[in-house]
Amino acid sequence: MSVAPVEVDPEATEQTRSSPVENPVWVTVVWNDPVNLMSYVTYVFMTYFGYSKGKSERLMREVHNLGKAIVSSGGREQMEKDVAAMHGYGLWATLQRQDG
Amino acid sequence: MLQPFEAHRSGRIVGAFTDGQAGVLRFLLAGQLALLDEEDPTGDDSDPLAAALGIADGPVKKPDNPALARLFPDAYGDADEAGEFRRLTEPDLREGKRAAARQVLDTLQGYSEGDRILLDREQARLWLGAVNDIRLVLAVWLEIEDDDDNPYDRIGPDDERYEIVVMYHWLGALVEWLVEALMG
Repeated sequence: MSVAPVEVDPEATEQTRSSPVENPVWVTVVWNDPVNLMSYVTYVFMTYFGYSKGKSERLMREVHNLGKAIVSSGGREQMEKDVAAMHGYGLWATLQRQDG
Repeated sequence: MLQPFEAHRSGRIVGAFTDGQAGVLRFLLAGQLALLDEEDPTGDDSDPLAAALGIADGPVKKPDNPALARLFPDAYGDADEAGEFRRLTEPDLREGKRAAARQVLDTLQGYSEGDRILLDREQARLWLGAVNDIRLVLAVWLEIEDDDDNPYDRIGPDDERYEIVVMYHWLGALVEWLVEALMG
């Protein structure tokens, strides 16, 4: 599935897409909700992002204790993909520019 | 209560339910499938090409039904950007959730107590997603909005929503068991 905006540069590589000079960095934010279980949220971070159990648990606790956590960063297209995936798992996620 | 899911040595996950549990799951899954057909941006009157491409043919607003709004939350603070994101993603997301619910429901058709359901990891992931989604919807009906809110504290056996509370808690246990079986 692609959620690319129309102005996709077909030459773009991982490097150019994540370059903060040419393209702003975007982040995926997962927000706390009172329903998803802590074990489930950890499982989602491990399964989708491939993060270690330790990193996934740390992010889960950040979401739980602080109300939200940045779980990934990069080009806008990739962040839209990540947010859509989080919604697929039932997590409440948004994306924004890192400086925004 | 008998543990409904266990990791098997083969790497697969074994599920076993009572007739009552299987009946409740079938009821909830059928309800979830009906919900996922509500306010569908690629409904009957949509453009066939856009539908074939898995996108909506016009701006898509946040669903009015709060349960659908929970399953498909805004991705952006800006309403226009959120609408464009919905146009490009919501049809695929709906289909993914439908497919998971359908597969679980199919597995449970004809199930009777004593049967064993053997799930590979991919099937177990679909079960987990489908069960978790139903739990999210029940939480909307129970108006759970706070981490410390235990609906048992405020919804008693005389309340018409009490059965939803019981199902909500049982689905939470299913989620825990499935996560444990998948990560263990």
